[in-house]
Amino acid sequence: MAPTLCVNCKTERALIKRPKNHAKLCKSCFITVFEDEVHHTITSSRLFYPGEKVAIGASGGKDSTVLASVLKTLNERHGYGLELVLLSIDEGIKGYRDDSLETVKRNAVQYQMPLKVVGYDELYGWTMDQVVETIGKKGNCTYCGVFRRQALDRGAKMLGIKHVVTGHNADDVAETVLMNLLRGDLSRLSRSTSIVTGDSRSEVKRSKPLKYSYEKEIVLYAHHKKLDYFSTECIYSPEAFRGSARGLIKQLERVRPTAILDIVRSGEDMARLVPGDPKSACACKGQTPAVSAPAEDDIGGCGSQNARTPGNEMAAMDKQLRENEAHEVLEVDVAKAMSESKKNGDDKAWDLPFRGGNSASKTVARQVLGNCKRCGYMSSQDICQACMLLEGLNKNRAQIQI
Amino acid sequence: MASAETDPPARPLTRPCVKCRTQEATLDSRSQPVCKDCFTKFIATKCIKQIGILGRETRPAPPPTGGPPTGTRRYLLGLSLGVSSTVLLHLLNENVEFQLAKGRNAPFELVVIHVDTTTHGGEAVGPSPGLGGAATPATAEAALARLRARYPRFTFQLVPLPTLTPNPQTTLTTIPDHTTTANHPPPPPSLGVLPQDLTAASLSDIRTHLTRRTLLSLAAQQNCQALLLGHSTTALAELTLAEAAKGRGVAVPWLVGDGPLPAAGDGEGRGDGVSGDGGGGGKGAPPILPPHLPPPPLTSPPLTPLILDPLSPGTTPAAVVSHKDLSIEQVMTRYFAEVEENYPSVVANVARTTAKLMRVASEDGEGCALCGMPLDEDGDERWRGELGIQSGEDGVSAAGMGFGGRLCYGCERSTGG
Amino acid sequence: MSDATEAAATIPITVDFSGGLEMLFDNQRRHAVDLPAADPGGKPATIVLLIDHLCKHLMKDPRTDMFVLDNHIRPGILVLINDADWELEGEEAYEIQPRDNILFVSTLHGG
Repeated sequence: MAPTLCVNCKTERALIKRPKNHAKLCKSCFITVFEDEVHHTITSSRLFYPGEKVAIGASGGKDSTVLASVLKTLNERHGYGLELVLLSIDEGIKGYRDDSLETVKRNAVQYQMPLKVVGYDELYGWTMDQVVETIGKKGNCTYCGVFRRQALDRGAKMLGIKHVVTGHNADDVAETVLMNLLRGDLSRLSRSTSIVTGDSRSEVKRSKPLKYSYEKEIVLYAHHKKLDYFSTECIYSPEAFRGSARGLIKQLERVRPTAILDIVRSGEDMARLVPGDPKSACACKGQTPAVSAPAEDDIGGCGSQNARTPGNEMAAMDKQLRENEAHEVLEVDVAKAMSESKKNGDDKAWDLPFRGGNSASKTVARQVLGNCKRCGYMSSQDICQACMLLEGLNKNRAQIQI
Repeated sequence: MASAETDPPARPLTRPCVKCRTQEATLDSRSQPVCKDCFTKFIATKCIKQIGILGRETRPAPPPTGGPPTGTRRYLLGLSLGVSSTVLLHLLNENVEFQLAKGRNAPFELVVIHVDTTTHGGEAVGPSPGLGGAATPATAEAALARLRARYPRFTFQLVPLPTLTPNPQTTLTTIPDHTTTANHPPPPPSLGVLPQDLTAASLSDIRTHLTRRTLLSLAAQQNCQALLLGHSTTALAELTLAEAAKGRGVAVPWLVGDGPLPAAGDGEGRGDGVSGDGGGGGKGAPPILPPHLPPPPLTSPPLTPLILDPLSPGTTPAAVVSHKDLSIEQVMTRYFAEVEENYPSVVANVARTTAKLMRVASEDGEGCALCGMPLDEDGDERWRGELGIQSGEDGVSAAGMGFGGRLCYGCERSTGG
Repeated sequence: MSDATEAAATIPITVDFSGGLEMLFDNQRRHAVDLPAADPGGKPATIVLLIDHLCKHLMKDPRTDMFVLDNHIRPGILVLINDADWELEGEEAYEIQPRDNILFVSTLHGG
């Protein structure tokens, strides 16, 4: 079989078939196109300004390694004038982060970028190993995710940096869109599709320059550029492939590769349909990039893909929904349920779950963002999630000590 | 709605029904043990309630001269010959029989239509993905004959996908309201203009949407005020995620929810739906086969012989030759079969969430030339850069030209390969 | 590894695992594999045969479903045949040639 030629240069052998448009490209054309597209995303969304200090959230994994490499290349090629710094979080899990952190250290040398490693112990007074010792393995991903969320921002603050970029790719965004549809969280759906999160109120803004890049192409980019990255599984994360939204995304990609970007597109469009949310996700036509509050996004967002949608998250969702469903009995036996809900001092009015032509009048509760009264971090509650969790942990420690 | 028959217990009331507490539970409904009577009652109650709401929404207008309304309600049921739509048919019939038994008039007339997607212009185009390859025109005709015998009050028709008389006057899938004069939706476009090498997923998507438009068009032609589809709660969840995965997020509220359709100009379009499970249902949705409705043997006589493709509830479709040859809908069905087993409430919540989204029509009222759903100019503008899509005159792509107009993002993707 | 099935002809190839898949294969990235030249039915060795061979003879880890799902490569694992995406080479039907390099990269693992 004669090798297929690259549709772009028409001279080299095609090595890549692009998921988004089936284009067959050779190695060097692919690398150029990949970089050009990230450049397009950066410029059309006006992610950066000249002279900006930007921290790259670096785990040593494929996504953040590719992000660092591409940003270095584009910064030099297009004269962004960015000051790039690698920022790594050490959760304090013995035997897990060691190799990843070694990889980041090599990356720092390869890309000539300064590296800052921030530990959970330094930030919170707890390593993940200590957390697990106290609460057990169950639910530890929640702690890790909540801590991580703030860790990057706090680390950036320590460095005097106001912008953190992360390696979230199109597959991640698509997965979040589907998860939020499953969990019925429309305000989070709206947030998760934004390329930039955080607004003038927050001290650190976040963005995802690889938002439109397929995970497949990120891996191929790393492979063909021979980038130095590390793959691992968190030793505390359950291997919950089954039933995970991640598995679903990959199956859809296999059936029709465009599906991943199509979900991202659908997610952005549906975000505009959330009542009470006037913003358009469009970033290229407007003057300022569309931003939305980060709040507690990406929970369970440890480097492990498995843990992003662990079975226990679905189980928790289901349990909560089932409790709400007790009300659904109402539909069938109104009188009985009414008396029950009265008994519970619960006289909320129940909407019929379905139906009702245009439901534009119903608004989805929007979170109002303030600042945590303890740590000052942006939060929709008086006390942010991290401080709540810490309070619990510290009580536990005190008890153990007694 | 998860429901699977369990082994009959050896002793009475070892597992009482959670609803009546007097009978032995023989079924699991959303992880709760229920007896057969309560379960069928539950399903019927939910359905009849929806029919009641629909009845109020389609109440005939009083004549201009005053006096009581004289018109009759008339609905079209899209029948895939699968479990859900057959159960819905049965419940609609029960509703009519019940009213007649009370000495009232029949609450509505019903036209039942099965769209044959296996042939196109007389040529076989492969098995219908929604029916697991079970239906051919011959088997479908035989199935309809059995249904005619069982439900003689209703009219049954078998319609091939493309046969509709063109009506160039119209631009949108609109079922005329009883207050408007005929404003027929355009006929679904022909399949002939599609590229030869479409993936199974794309072909399935196009067929699904053409089927829906055929049903809408027929509903208008036959003066029906609503199109009813037998979507279970699970099917609606699958539909939500499948349409999102096909890039039709902006149309999801229209496709999943009940109620009027995106209307051209004066906003007089109307179409309503109920589902067999008290869920949304709705006119927009394709007649895919959701396997999670009440087990047909519960009716008397059983519905099972009437169902062409009796997927037993709760079963996962068998492993396929390759992951690649599935449709997006099939991937979703497989996924939800797994999720539903463990997390039934999550499944039930999806359509509820979708119902909260706003329904936005195109600014100029123009619909996609293929699926008829609203066009989304802002979104298309923004994405052109991300995808490098080239468009022709007036934003009509090469594929769109074949369909005689602009296509929505989802249809561009499906016609592109 | 294999317990040498007869003196049937074999094809020498190299198989690489990365992106986390190496964890299923003794934590070793590169493996030299002698693949039977034909399947039991006498048909030339394809990727299908290779996958089967790897599961039976090379993988020590019991978690085969992290590599194979419903008898096919798990979606999310990339296959490169001599550095080219297998989609350009006929996927599972590709007939394996001597000294081929087949790379399996997982995109499913984190960093």
